Amino acid sequence: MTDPWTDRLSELVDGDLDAATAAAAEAHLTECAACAGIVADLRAVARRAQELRDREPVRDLWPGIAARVERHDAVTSLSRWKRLRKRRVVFSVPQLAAAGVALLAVSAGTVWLAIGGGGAPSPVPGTAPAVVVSAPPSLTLAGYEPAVRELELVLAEHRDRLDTATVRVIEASLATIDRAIAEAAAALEEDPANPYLTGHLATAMRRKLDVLQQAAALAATSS
Amino acid sequence: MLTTVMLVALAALPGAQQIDTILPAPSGTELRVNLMQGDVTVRGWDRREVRVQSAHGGLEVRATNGTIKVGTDILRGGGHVQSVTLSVPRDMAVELSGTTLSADLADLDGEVSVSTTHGGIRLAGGSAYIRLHSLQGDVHIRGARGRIDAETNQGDVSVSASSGPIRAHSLNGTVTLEHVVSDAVDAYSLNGDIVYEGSLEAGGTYSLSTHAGDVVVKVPVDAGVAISASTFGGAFETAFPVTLQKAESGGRTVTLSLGDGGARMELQSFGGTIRLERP
Repeated sequence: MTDPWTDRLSELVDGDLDAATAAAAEAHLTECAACAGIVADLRAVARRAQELRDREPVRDLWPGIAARVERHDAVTSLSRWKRLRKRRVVFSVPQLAAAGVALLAVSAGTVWLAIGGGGAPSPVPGTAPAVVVSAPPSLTLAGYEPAVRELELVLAEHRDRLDTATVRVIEASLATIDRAIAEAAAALEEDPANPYLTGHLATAMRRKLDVLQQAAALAATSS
Repeated sequence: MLTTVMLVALAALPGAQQIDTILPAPSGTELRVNLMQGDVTVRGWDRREVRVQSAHGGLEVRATNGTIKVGTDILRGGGHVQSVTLSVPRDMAVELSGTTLSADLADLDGEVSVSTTHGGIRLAGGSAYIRLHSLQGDVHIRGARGRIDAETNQGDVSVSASSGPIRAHSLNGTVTLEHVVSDAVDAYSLNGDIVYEGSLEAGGTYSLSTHAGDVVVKVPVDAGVAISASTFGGAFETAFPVTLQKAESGGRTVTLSLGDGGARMELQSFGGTIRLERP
């Protein structure tokens, strides 16, 4: 039977639970080895994400990224994304468009939006509701591929817990995204100065991260 | 607040006994439902009680620490497909989750969260934070007033006659937003079309993006909106005259302004057509 706490464990790790719920969750961990194991895994992943995040972002990566993506057109994934997912950056569309979105460096778990060479902009207080843009992940080659591999490992390790229908959906989703990534990468090679393509490719790659994270989480929490 | 733990109305025999039980639900009580497989119908009513009905049993119903939990009782016949009907106070926060779970909810004013791996989700009404996620299944929302977050991987998303900030994402399906009033819209599909017919508020931001589908926006005659439209292998079309302000990236990104340009809209389709129409 599915444990009702499994859906809350990532919130616990992220510190998103209120004090009472967190205390209850921690109490549950003392009684439930399965949940305790999941939390241990999530915390380990978070620690590794932190390490990756501290790496210096590499600039002007797109040619390399495009080539890399093309070479590995079945590349699965990126890293475990709990944190990345949580750290969506709120920008207004005009901010993104007007700034010409020079991209970004996302190393596993962090989204940096380098606009005009400056630092990451902050959401502007009082301007809500801005569109919550799933900030295009930037990709440092140093951070992206290890993250991909790590998520793949998590998924592979627990894949047999998923039913065949779920596996089929996930594979179909990843195949769709891979095609989009390959097309966007090829387009970017043709038109490397096009900011739309840069953002589009990054968004597709981010989407893949989301699906891999989702799949890994499903696998890890399925009994 | 419920401080005692109650275990009620368990089916005594595997898969045999009908459940129909009512639990008190003081203000602040939350409902959490987790089923392995089945259909869940939730309706808001004007009583401070939760009624749980199931024809087949196999359910565990608990009330503890301000939360009413309904879940599959695998030891008592819960392995089969279940059909559960819940009547809940309108303002109750409702959270549903399951592996193969279809959900139909209506008349709710509290937070609603549904997460299913396989199954569609349908919501009518709602006036708080609404989060409906399915891996494989359609997500349909109608008549909601709140912050809407709807997502599916394999399926369509539709939001109609609703208001509030909207995030509507599908990987392989169509995203349709009709008769919506919102100043913050984020609609995304990788392989499907996006259709938007709704308000364009001054200061509002609207992001509609797809990879392989079309983007269709029905622009009111009196709309004031600044539009940026980008494509790579697709096209930009408009059913009414416009004046382009700027064309960049070899004409693959164009900008234009209608009326006072108070709303901001970003339209993207990598390989499809971006089309402006009148409602």
